[in-house]
Amino acid sequence: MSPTAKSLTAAVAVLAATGTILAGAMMRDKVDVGGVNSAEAFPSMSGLVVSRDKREVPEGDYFYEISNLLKQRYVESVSDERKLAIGAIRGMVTSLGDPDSLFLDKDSFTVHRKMREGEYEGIGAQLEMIYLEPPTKDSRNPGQPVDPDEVLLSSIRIPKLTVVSVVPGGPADKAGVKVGDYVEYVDDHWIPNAETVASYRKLQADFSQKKITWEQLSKVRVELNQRMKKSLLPLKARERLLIGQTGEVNVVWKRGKESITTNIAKAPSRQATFAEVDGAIHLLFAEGVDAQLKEAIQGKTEIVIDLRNNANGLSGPMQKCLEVLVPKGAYGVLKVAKHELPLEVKVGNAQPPTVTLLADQSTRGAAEIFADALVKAGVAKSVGKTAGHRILVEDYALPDGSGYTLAIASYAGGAK
Amino acid sequence: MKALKFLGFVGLLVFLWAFGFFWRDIQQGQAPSPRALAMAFGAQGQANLNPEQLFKQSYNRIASSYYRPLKTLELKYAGMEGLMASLGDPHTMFLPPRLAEDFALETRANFVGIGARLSPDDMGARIAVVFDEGPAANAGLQKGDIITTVDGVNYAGKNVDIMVSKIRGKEGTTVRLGVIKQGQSKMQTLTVKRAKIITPTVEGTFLPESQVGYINVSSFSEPTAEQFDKVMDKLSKEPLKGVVIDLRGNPGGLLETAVEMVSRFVEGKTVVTMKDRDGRRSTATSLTGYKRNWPYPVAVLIDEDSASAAEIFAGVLRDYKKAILVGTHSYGKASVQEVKELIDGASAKITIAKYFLPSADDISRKVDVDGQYVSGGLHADVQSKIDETKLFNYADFGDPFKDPQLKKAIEVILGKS
Repeated sequence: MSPTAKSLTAAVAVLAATGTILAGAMMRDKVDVGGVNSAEAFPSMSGLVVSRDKREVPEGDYFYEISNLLKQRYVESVSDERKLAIGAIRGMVTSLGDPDSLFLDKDSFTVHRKMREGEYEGIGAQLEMIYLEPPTKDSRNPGQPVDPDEVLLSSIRIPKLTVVSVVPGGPADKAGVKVGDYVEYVDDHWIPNAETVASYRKLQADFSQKKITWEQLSKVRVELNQRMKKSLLPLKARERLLIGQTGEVNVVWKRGKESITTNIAKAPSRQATFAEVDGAIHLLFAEGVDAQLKEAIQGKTEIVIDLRNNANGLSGPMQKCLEVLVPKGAYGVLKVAKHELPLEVKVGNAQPPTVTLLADQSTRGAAEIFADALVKAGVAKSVGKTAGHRILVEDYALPDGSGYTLAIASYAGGAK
Repeated sequence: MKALKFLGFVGLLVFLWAFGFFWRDIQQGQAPSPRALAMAFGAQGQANLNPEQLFKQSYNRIASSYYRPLKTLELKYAGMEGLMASLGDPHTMFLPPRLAEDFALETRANFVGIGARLSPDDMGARIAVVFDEGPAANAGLQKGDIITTVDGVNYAGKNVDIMVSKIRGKEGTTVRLGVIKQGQSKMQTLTVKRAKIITPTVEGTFLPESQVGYINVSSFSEPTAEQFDKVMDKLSKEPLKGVVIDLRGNPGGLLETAVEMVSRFVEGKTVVTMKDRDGRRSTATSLTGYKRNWPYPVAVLIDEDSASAAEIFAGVLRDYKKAILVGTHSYGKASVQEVKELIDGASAKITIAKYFLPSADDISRKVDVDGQYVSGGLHADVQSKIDETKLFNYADFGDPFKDPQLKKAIEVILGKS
């Protein structure tokens, strides 16, 4: 080795060594508090507390520091750190203010997962929170307790707890509950709803334009305050209606201007994930249905698929079913977090059967996207008006049995 | 030989990397912390996530997979709010920077604004109190006037806090307010110069008809006890038959201030006993040298919004038989919090102890699953409620003829004196 080569090697080695130290230190910076001595501060106080620098703190450190702060200072002993983590996750999910992204307690989450498999309890229907207006910056925490003043005077968005699908033959169906009905009272508790709040806000506007008097406005206000005193938040009401296999629940529904009172006995009810009834295929987008669908269409040139009362499908199984029914290609666009993805069928079915779709307002989410894609592929004819909620929702279980749903994509560029 | 050399070099690199990684620990003269080791070598397996990893997994998932735009900073703060809320204690909470600032301002009772307190109104915000000699008072604003616009923007139907944040600003700058004076229908525009405000937390009025002094204490802030003395000095010049101290809607404040206020009534007596997480007891005792002469009955007005320091003050006066409590039950906050400022301007407010009144009463609020009041709080010696089936006009608050609870308190005093 020549001296030049030798010194070159040495230089490279030194550079590599220095680089490695720096890389190690930078790596630590990435995972640790940027420049804050988290260790030094204990037990007096945590690193987050001591320093006065204004800087953004990585989420993991925030979690670590706040949990430690609680463990050291809180009046009762904090032993279950997992509970803190799950509380934090609840906080994050709730902060999205999104009706499709919900934190669900153990019982609710269990019921939710079973519903995706077609197994219902409670009144045998699916209820969702439907908002009249899109979310804004300060419309957070729809599920949090709110006081009357906040609901009536602030800009908090209030949903309508609305039926989006019913199990055919289930308790709600038997009681005459229809898709589109929304809940006004459950067991004498008022459920604050968008319509009432909107009409109160209109009165406020009328008052400020001197169209009505202060007395007229306060009369309505006092009446609403009384109702609010015995009210139930939409999420809680939803739990009451969807959980439980026994007992009776008294519900007042609103259908247009009409109020309908029902007494519904809670009972298990069921929708098959895959069934052929009178020549029509009923399918819910749960794991494994694509294989059943594939088998069912063997040798057929014409099929009927019933997508009614289908509001809870998963995106994976839905896309697998598309593979069975449409040729290779892209059928519309999924808008995800920061970009757009084509809704792609990779292999597909080069000789698809002609599909007749049965769909209505109770065709929602994955089912609606499925219908749109079939129409776009020219496999099915355009269907009637569906729910207009083309959003894909996933769910995630947490170790204590609770879990949450998260809206991961919206579908655009559907059928013309 | 060559391979060995190479291996040695790689080993050296690994060592150097670790040196870099643990440099922070080494600097602090300690062995690498378990957490640092876990970060360097810990497996990120799905099955057994530790709580921190569990949180991070969901944080990353929501930040990257949620389909609408979101701010990761807000997501993180929401997580911390949820984390602290999971303890089920309504007083242990995370305050993101903006709220933390508001909170600090409140306890210091000094900030830059126009010197008025606002309450919600269907048309914007109603002026509830105008501070003496403040910019609002100088501009001619009065209690009952309604502010509808701030710098030309209409805030009808919006939260009052939003309006307050727009009205506050830098010292010396001006704000344009659209105002409807009480009893008028036309809006006028006033320009008000912002100034540093020391919030009056104590206001006193002599009620000539009953010869009773009416003192409203709105919070227990740093200057409260001093302001209380000033108000009492002024009222003492009148032929007083008694004093009503109004703590309705008083959310409390500083424990020190409650102790100072109690010291105006009793010397060297136990105010509260605090019990911390380890069962250690500590006692706050009233100071000597501040006691005033009270040759007439004192009534204290409380309601469900009287909390914390206000409840201590009221409860201690009751326990030492210095005052009669009139009104409804109080909120029932029997715990002490400390506020830790975090490096990015956020704060963590944490319950660190529970307190007990001299009578050893635990007044902790109990609620049902829907958050509705079940029990707790101080119980008024003389009950008086505001009729909830009528909308109470807050302009009548503190009016000795129209405010039913104040009327009751005056009756109690006149009946005793």
